Amino acid sequence: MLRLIDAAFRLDAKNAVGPLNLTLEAGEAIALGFDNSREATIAARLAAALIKATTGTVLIGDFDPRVQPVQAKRLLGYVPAHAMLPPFHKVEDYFRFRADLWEVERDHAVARGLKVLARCRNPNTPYAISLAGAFIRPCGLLVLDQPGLEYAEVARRERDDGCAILTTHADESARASIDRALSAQVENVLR
Amino acid sequence: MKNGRATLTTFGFMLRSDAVSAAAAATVALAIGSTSIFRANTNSAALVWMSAAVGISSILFAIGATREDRKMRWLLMSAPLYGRELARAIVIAPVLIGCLAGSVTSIIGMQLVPWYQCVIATLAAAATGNMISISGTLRIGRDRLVFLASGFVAASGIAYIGTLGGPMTTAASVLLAAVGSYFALRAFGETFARLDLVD
Repeated sequence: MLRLIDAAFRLDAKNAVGPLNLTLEAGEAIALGFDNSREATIAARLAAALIKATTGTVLIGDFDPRVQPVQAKRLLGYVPAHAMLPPFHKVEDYFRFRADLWEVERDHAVARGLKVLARCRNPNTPYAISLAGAFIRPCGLLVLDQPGLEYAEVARRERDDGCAILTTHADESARASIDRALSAQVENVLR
Repeated sequence: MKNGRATLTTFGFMLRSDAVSAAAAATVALAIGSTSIFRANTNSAALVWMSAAVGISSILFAIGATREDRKMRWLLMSAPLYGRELARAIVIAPVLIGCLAGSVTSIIGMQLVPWYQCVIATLAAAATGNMISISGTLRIGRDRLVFLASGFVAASGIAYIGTLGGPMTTAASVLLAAVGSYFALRAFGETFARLDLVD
C-alpha cells in the first residue's frame, strides 16, 4: 500500500529528512520517531506525497503520485499536526464538504465521521475533527502527523484494512509530555 | 472536467471563505477613494486616487483571502484533484470576488467618466491586480513583496489608463489586463505545481 524507496526531502539544512526506506502492506502500521517536530511533519507529508521527494520514490497503492496524483490521493487520509478548526458552523457540514471533495455519498460520510468523533475523548479539538474527517470513507493509507496516544488508539480501532503511518518527535519543548518512548508505545497500540 | 464535484466544491468553498476579505477590501478601497475624491482639485487627480484605491484593495484582498484559506490548505492539497484543477479552483474564486471588491471604487469614478468605462476599467484592473497579488502570497520574503507591489502597480495603472480618455483607452486597459492576467495565471499555476510547503 505504501512504499518509500530511498525517499528523501531536502529544501535546506533545516528542512531535510531521509532517505527513508519502508514498505507497508494493507493492515500494517508503523510509527516513526524523529528528533524534532519539523522533521516529523516533513516525513508525514513526504509519506502522504503532499511534498515531492527530492530523491527516491514514493508509491501509494502502486500509484506514483507524481504521475497519478488523483488515484494516489483517493487512497489517502492525512491529518496534519497543527490542524485548525474548519470554518463551518456544524461538524456535519465539514463532513459533507469532505464528502463532496472525495466524491462519496454524503449521508454515509457524515455517519462515519460522527461515529469516529464519538470515540474521541475530546471530540471538539481540531485534531479529533480532522481525524474523523479522514475516516468519512475507507482509506487505504492513513497518515497521522504527531497524533498523540489518544488519536493513535482511535485510528487503530477504525482503520479497517488500511495501513497507517504515524510520525512523532521528541524535541526539547515536547519532552515534558512526549518523549522518545512514545513512538514505541504508539507502535504497540497499533499492533 | 474529470473531478467536477470536487472542483466545484473547492470553488464554492473559496468563494464563501473569501467573501469577508472581499467585503473588507471593498470597504477600505471605497473609504480611501471617496475621502480622497473630495480633496482632489482636478478630475485627473481624483482618478489617480480611485486607481490607487483599486490597487490597495487588490493587495488587501489577496492577503486577507489567503490568510483565511490557510486553515483548510492541507485538506485541499490532500483532496483527489489534479494540481491544475486545484490551482484553477483556488485562484478563480478569489479573482472573481476580488473583482467585485475592486470595482466598487467605480462608483466614485462614475462621477468623472462614463459609467461603462469606469466599470470595465476597474474590473479589468482588479482582475489583474488580484491575480498578481495572489500569486505573490504563495511566495516568501522579497519575492512576495515584489509581487504584491507589482499587483498594486498593475491594478492602479490599468484602472488609470482605462478611465483617462475615451473608449479607446478603456480598450487598451482591457488588452493590458488580458496580457497581465494571462502571465500572472501561468506564474500562479507553475508556482503552485512546484510548491513544497514545509511550514
